[in-house]
Amino acid sequence: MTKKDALEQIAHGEVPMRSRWHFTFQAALIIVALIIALAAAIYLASFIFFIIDRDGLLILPRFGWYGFLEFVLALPWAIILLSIILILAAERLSLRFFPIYARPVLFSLTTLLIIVVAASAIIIRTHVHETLENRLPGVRDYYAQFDVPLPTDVYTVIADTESAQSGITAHDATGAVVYVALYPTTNFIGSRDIDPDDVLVILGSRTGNTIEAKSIQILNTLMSWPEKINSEFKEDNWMK
Amino acid sequence: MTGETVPDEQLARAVQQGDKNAFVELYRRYQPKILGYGRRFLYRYEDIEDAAQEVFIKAYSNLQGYNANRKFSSWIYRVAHNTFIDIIRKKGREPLSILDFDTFINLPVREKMSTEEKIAFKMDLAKAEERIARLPAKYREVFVLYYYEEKNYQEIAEILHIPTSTIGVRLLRARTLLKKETKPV
Repeated sequence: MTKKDALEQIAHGEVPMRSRWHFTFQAALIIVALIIALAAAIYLASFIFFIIDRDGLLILPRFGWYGFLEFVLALPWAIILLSIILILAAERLSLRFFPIYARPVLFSLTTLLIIVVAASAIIIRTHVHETLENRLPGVRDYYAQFDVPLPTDVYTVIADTESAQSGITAHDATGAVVYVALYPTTNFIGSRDIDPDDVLVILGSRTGNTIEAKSIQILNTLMSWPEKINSEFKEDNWMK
Repeated sequence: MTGETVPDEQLARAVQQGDKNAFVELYRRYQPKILGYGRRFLYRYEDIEDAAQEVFIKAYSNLQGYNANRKFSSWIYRVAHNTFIDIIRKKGREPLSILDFDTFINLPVREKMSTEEKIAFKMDLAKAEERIARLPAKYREVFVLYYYEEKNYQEIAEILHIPTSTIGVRLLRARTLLKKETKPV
């Protein structure tokens, strides 16, 4: 090749100039991809919050560090990972535009993360997922696939008797009567006064029909219930 | 529209409207610069003149994508950067990272050169081309653009699509690597 090649090629019409539409379309595609990635990330993030709320996972951190660890392990990591990938993809796409690329990556990532979390918090407040679950056929079954069970050492029961020194009688979601053994070392989160019909979330170990309680929290009847506990105990009329 | 005083951006707009002669003028203005940039950045590579020609073919082909409200020189250097990086990637002789930690946060750059040091450093550059060629690509390119092409941080950020704060960090690292190489054994 000689130095004049580029100009010669252009002069002879061998180098076509791409039309303005080509670049407009390309930019539009990137913007659409960016919007889709962001919208999907927002949907997934709101779905994660919905699952956490529905499945009562927020009960776990109240059990202290151990509970917090259980909470972290119980999180729907596959969905979290997918939403992180979508946020990263949106960030990479946004880097094509000035002045985003002139800022540190951490700045654009944090901005996107704030947008996603804020938008999903708004979505959660509008109860979109509950509406979809209740009104659209098939959505309930689909959402049920993402059910996150509480850890195996966390039990939910309804008290049948008042609190006593050594323990109380209660029944679980299947209606089976269980004895909750209380010890001086049992940690009460909140009130120690258990009344009949109180919902108890217990961290401990179960042998047969006896639960040895390490930690107990009472879900007050005035609290809003995790949807999962509501549906598990649907036989208890007062919870309906 | 080919006069010396006509701004690059106006010439580029004329090319967008079909004036091929305006592109000849842009070629005349930028061909030596792009060739110089290529020679220093792709020091150890062959066919640099072909690479520079490729830059102008791509520039012409993609000129409708150029926003004439922005600086033309940054745009054509961006085209050159992409072309040269493609060459490095194709030859596979040196690693190119996709994600660099130095683009993640604002890292403070402590070292500041006095004016005398800057003059002495620029004089040394003439003797240091081979050592510069051995710098990792990401440091070498920033170094070449800043010291040889005399681009400022803002322009380099537009050319390389990296944060302006990263440029200071890369320049400092490039200088540190060059100093290490010149230390007597």
